Amino acid sequence: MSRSRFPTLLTILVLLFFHAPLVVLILNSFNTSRFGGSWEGFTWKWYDLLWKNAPVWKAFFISLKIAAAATLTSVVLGTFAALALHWYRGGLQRTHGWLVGLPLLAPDVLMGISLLAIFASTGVPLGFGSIWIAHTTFCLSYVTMVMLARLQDFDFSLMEAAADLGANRWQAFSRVLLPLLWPGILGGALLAFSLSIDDFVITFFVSGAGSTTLPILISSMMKTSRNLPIINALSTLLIAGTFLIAALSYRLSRPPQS
Amino acid sequence: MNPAVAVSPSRSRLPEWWLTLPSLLWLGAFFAIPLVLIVVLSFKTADLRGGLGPGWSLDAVRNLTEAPYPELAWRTFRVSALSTVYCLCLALPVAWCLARATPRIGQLLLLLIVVPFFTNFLIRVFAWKSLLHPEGPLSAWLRNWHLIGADTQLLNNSGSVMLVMVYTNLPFAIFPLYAATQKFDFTLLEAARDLGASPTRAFFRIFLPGIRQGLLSAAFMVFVCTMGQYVVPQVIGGTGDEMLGAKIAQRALNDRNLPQACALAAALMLAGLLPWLVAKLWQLSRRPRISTVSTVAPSTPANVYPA
Amino acid sequence: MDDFLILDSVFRHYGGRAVVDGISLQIQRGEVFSLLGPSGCGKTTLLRMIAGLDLPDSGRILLQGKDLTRTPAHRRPVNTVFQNYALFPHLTVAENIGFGLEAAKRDKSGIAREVTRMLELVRLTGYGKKRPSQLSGGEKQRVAIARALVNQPQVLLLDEPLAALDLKLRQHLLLELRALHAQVDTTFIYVTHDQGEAMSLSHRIAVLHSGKVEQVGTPREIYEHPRTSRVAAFIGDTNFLPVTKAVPGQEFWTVQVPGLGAFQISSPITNPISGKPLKISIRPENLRLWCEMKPPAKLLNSFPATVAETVYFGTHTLCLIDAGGHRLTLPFPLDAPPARKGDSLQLVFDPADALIFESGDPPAPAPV
Repeated sequence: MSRSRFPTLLTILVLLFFHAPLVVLILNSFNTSRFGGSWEGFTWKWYDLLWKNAPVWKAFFISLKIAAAATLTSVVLGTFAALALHWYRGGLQRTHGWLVGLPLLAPDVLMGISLLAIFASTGVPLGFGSIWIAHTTFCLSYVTMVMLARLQDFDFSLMEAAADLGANRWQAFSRVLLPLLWPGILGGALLAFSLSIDDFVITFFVSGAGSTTLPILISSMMKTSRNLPIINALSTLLIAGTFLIAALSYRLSRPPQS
Repeated sequence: MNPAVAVSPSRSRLPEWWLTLPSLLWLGAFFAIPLVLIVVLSFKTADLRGGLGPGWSLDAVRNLTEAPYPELAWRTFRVSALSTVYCLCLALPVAWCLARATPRIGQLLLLLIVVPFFTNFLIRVFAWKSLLHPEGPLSAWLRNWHLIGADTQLLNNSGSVMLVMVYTNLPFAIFPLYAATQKFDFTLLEAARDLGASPTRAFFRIFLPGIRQGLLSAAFMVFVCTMGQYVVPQVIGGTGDEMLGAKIAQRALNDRNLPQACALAAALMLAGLLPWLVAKLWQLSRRPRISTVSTVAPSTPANVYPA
Repeated sequence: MDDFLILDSVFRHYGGRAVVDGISLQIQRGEVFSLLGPSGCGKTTLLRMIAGLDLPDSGRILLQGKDLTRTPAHRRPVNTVFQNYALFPHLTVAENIGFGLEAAKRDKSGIAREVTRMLELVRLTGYGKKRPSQLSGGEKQRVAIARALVNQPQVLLLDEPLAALDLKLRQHLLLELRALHAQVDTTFIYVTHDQGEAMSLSHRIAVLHSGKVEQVGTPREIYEHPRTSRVAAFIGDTNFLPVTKAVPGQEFWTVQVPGLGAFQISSPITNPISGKPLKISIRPENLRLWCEMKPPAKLLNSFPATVAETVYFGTHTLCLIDAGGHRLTLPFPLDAPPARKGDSLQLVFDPADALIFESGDPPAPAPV
């Protein structure tokens, strides 16, 4: 194939396209200017205001708690689901596979309204519990996908070898399966955690009055120009945090060097 | 030898059920049933205090044919289709580069694409909002270069909405295309060239058909995602840019008209299902059924640790 | 001679066909017993059922009189050397070897001692702290053997352990396995599709095909007196000639081979039914040149042939010859006068060296 420069050029442009807004955002969080039209000097002012902003921290902790809870349930459910899908074939698993794969394709709005519908008709109050259920539901599919990818590399004959050597069910599970699957589980957990912290649309539909998560707070803050620079600062911090988590998750999702 | 003692082995299906049930039940209860519920609730009456009224009615569904819904639907469809095209056009070269790169550079590229994707969606939209703000850097820069007039607004602009839409959806196009491009055998292109085909001809006749599956997946993902989008038009665009998703949210949360919102959502579901159904039927009609029978029983825990 | 391990009419169906179709075997204590056959013959499935990694649909497996059929794998005094070694990648060599002892809850110092002893036995002293990823194929195989043997199993199962290794290494490890067996007092069951391995290693071989046992015997019995044409074709090379008429006699049968005439063949062990299509099998090394023969002591069958092709193999030259419209092979040792394409030969063979089989079996693939 002719070594056309076009794809490479375009890829570089696309990468710039991806990163430029974020870079500008990060820069502007240190910019004295309110709208970032021009550089008016370095400042920590916005971070300072952020630090003192109580609602932000309250929302942050609510997001953390929900994320922790949702991560726990989605990882447990997702690991079981992945094991089932990997080890077994047949009608049950085909249906199971469909059910697990569909949430990945469904638009957030659809999931949001459908969950609202079922909570409204069954009388479940909207609050921490409803958000936790919603988050677990969409995280489950992602965790399952990560675990499945990891399981593809898992050599099942190792379990047979363990049994052959005299390990009972529990010993084989704890000494062979779990240690080898652990990085995948951790990767799935980190993915679920970041998805939960990030989510806006679905949470918007199923949150009640007292459970404002961070994204919901940011969205209401975005409507007034007064708060723009604080959001810059907050965003920068979140970008840094997500970067770290993403890098960790990526390293853990890869197969072992064998 | 004596006749064998018949042994019925305990090849129990129990472990499979133990592993499958938790996620099956959870998703059944919180994903499958709710989706069905939306369709059902479209036929209920609305209670003025929010929530559902007692009886059944076709009002919500009938309203779909009246303003503003048809125009909304058309706009949503048009924007989704256009953004799908743009995304595919941009994603193809990127997927190409990723697949052709050496493993190390490929991983680096992938990381560079994935990381912004992992940052909070709202923040990414906000980054654009602040970038496109009339007093923001981009406007100032463009004005200096006399590319736009003093009054031009970059926000509340359909073009900007499309731009940000493409921005947020591009990764959804890149991933399936990347997966397909990785599996593509590039020596086929060398063979085509060897046989006298020009690069363009090889691209359209060999490469694109070869990644057909990936193209369809990418198109489907972007289309469905954009159909349901509501944050981007709301934040970046003006009232003339509103899409279905925002209307659903408005009806459900602001107007507290759940049946109407459900009717809209059900319409959205159908709109998303249709292209998928078409694609699946087309696929099924073209592929022959191949069944493989292996000679060794599969290894499952039930064999190794009989219940 | 006690029947140590008994397989009694074991059946295993999968995907609508019988993968193991009623196999019964009696294996003696301390012997090396091979299950030999082409892919898909059921040998691996049978091995896995002995190990407990698969359950038979019917039939029994008895070890020293105890019925093991329903015992789960981890409770059987049987250990396996897997084809892909199945070494635990997250554990060191020492931890791999000690795995079974740990599962049996032995004390740490005892385990350490056994592991060291095993490492010495397989000649990998000092490798304890290494990881499987750092080992070569041959080293991994030895660790797999050590890991299985350290538990002092009553039966050691080996599932094509040399399949993944190159020729030289295979030959070397084959000898090591023989030496190992002499040192430990364990029954080996060896699964392979390579008849050379089976012949050189085993006390007895069971030749399997399509889930059934074709023949059980010592390597010599199987090679010199195959019971079916499949066994004759699978073990070593052989030439097949179709037979149009066979007249049974007491000591000899007289058979008509189209294009070549009548031959005297020793009476077969099995009784091929006269009405069915038959063929005779002659090993290439049993075809001799007339000029080499000393004055014949007993009846000999002779026929003319032309050399069609010669293939040089280093240790010998293989001649492809045409005789009466049939293609046969014949090895020429290096010290024989070289045969050339087109040469005419007169060949003879001893009636005792030819075997009659029913021709219902699928024809053997042409040798070379």
